[in-house]
Amino acid sequence: MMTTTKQVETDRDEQLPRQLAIRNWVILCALLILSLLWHSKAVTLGVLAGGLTAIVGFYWLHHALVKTLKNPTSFAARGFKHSYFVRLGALAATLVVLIVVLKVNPLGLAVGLSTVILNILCVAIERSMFTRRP
Amino acid sequence: MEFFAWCVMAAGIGMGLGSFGTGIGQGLAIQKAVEGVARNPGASGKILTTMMIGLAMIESLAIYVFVVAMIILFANPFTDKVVELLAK
Repeated sequence: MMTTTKQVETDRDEQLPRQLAIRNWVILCALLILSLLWHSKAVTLGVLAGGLTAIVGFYWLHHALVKTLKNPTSFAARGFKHSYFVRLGALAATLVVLIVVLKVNPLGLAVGLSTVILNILCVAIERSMFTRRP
Repeated sequence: MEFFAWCVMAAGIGMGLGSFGTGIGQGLAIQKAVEGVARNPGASGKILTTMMIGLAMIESLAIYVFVVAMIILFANPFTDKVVELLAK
């Protein structure tokens, strides 16, 4: 019984990245629909741009970590460091372009950037509520 | 004029504090994850997932601080009002 419960938990953990990836898009769609209530193109664009930025950043981090941990050599570690700095630079450049050049709504952008955080909070709440303690 | 000087200082100090906290947080998270993988290599998949989620969460703090700093510097909602007051 104990082994079965552990097996179920391990399966759930293995499915977590895929589950997070799908739910990211669901949450972004929900936020976009909510943003339509404001009848403002800037707000909707801000949410969309922020959400896409957060999701792409999350994918990039996941990809880099998986690549490094599958092949833990010093070359891979250097590659991860390089990829990390490139990702941060790309993220900062995207945000500067969105805020300074395209002038998207800052609140919408912040809400869009919270897509991944909301997703993680949902997972944490779900797990704390539905996981049985022995 | 002082308003803009304070804005630049606020953005700089905010970004510095945000980056400091994020750096320490991410460093600690990675340290513990590496220790965990070294002790139990079989759990690396589980640790990777948890670390990835933790890193994304910690990193979002720096991103929020960066967005606020950019808003203070380039999209400050009070700029027009201050310029108007200065012109008087």
